[in-house]
Amino acid sequence: MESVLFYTFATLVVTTALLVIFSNHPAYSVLYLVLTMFGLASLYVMLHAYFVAAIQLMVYAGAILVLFLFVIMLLNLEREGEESFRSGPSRWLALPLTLVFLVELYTVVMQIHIKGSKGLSVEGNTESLGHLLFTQHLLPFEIISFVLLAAILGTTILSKRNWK
Amino acid sequence: MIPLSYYLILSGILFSIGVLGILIRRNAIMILLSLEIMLNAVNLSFVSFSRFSGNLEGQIFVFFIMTIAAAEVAVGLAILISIFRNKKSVDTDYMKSLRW
Repeated sequence: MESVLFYTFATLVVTTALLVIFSNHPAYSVLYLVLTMFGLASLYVMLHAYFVAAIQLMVYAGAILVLFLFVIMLLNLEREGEESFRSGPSRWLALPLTLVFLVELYTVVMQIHIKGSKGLSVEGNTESLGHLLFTQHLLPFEIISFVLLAAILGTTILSKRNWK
Repeated sequence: MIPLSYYLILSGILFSIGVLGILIRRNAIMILLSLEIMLNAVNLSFVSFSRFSGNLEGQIFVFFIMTIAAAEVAVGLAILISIFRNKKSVDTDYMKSLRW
């Protein structure tokens, strides 16, 4: 049962990710990426990471991809089509290079042996993650708010000033 | 139970798809989307390591990565809009004023 679910979601994630990079219009790519995020959130639930799954749906599918859609609407990309793919030798070199990279990753992954803590099951629910965030990782948690503040200020300045 | 290596291979495939997307597309929006795919692949491997080593730290990392990804997308799209204002295009082949 679990492996059936895993293969279903894995196929969903891989096919929609391929559709993201191969579809012609960016708006379709964003909509396929929403499906990828749903598949990944389901995989997180299978890995007992409930909080991360919820955040995945809210932050990625809810906020980041909507931001992409807004920008695509603003930019009004009319003449996108075949020309949005790279032409020339770099296009034909891309696939072999990626395959070499994939084989390297595969050989590295096959050498991983985690010291067995199989019986120890962690539940990534909001309570346990919140406890960890506000005790051991309090300083990074506060510093990340400054990163967000810098992003807000940077976005405002970049979009207000007319760079010439 | 699904072994750890299956999740890691899935994460590797997803990361490679992101790399392929960055290599073959010219549209800057598509490059940012491929970057998101790669970040999510890394998140998947973090969560699976966290599950299989019985340690929640990996999920804390995923939390921070998502925050950084949100900030990165916001600033990246703002830069993209200001490039579009100047060049009337988001094609990366036209962004060559910094190229040697």
